[in-house]
Amino acid sequence: MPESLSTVRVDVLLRLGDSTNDIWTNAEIDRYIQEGYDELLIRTKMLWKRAYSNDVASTATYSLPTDFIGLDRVLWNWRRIEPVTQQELIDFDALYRTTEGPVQAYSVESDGLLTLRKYPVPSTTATAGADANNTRIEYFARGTAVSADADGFSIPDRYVKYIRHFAMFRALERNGTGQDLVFAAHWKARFDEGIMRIINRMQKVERTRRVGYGERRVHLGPPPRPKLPRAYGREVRYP
Amino acid sequence: MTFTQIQTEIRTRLDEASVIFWADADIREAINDGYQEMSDASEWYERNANINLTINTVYYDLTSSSILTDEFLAMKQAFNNQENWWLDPRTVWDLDASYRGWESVTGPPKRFFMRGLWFLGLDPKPPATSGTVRLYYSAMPAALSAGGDVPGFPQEFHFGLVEYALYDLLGQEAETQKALQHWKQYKGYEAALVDFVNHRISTPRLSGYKGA
Repeated sequence: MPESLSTVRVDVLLRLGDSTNDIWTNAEIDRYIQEGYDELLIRTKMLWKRAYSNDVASTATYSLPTDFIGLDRVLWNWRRIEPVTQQELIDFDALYRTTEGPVQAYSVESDGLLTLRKYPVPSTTATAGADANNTRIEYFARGTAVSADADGFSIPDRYVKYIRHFAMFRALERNGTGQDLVFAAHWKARFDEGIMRIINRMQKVERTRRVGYGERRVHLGPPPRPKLPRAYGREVRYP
Repeated sequence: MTFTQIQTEIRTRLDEASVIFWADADIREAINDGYQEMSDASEWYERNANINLTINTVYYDLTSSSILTDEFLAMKQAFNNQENWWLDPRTVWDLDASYRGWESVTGPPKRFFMRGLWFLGLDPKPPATSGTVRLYYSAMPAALSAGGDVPGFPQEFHFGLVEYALYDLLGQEAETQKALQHWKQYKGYEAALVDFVNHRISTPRLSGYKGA
């Protein structure tokens, strides 16, 4: 049976030994569950989604989805486009706010927190939901809020268990009757362990990847450290 | 150990030979919770299945029951059944660095990558709705239900389920110290199973209780 808000709540109250709500109310546990759900998705970025930001002629800025946490990748006409800062746009094209043409870059600076600016400004209105000459964004999302007993979670049931751990931590941590800081710390540690497990799992394929002959390996880290000058093959160190 | 034997062991350790405080359902649920936890940590349940390719489709949701019937955990390898070659694991950044327009290219898949935790991507994308790719992955096993069911990992790790269930049940009784002692012992079994799964070629099978 898929997990729902009520099944997780019952599970939490069972493990708190408070199935009759003598100490913790359903509303309190529900709040902890929602908080754990948000925390899980924000820290792991496991919920990946795609959405179209359909081009409208002469419209430069577009709202990002309401469940948006962070951008992963933006494409225009099937091709990945680059993020740029507002200063880079100013340096490149002083009239960037009105220049029209095929979209080549995007910015998420200075136009509001959940606003994406396309550069150049699209000159034609794209067919909604199509990739051709249109913008698609790939982003990490927050899950749909759970409020009703039957509301489900946007993640597989295995990971809903971690939300239970967080709710247990919060319930045992708060002041008052039922507080158990030792057990609360244990449940927090289980939640954190679950987070690390998810992150490691997401990086598994990346760790095993191979680059074929002639392909360019992308350097994902910082630039190499500067080296000291050499004198005829012997390393010289200056005070 | 069978499911029934594990339950019997737990009742013995709780000093409750018959149902007094703990219902059979409580004990069964605690055992399955531990089974899930050990399976999640170790990814011992290795599976493989064919997925059908769909025309012009790059991404496949591996949590969808129409694609995979198992509860998917992590991807390992993929094999193109038509071309008889293994797909190379990549990241999307590798593909972008090679050719930004790779998503528009069609052909027999040669590379795979993951987006998020459960979206599989194929490159090139299939040009027709035909053919299959065989995926090798880890998954969650089905819960133990019948009395004769046996956990799928080796016998020497079965006591990990006993320790987990004791931790879970004593935690529900607010016996925090006792619960955490059993948790510590459970972690020993979990670590040993993870070690066995990850180093099968070099690790002897009989690792037993290691403690934490």
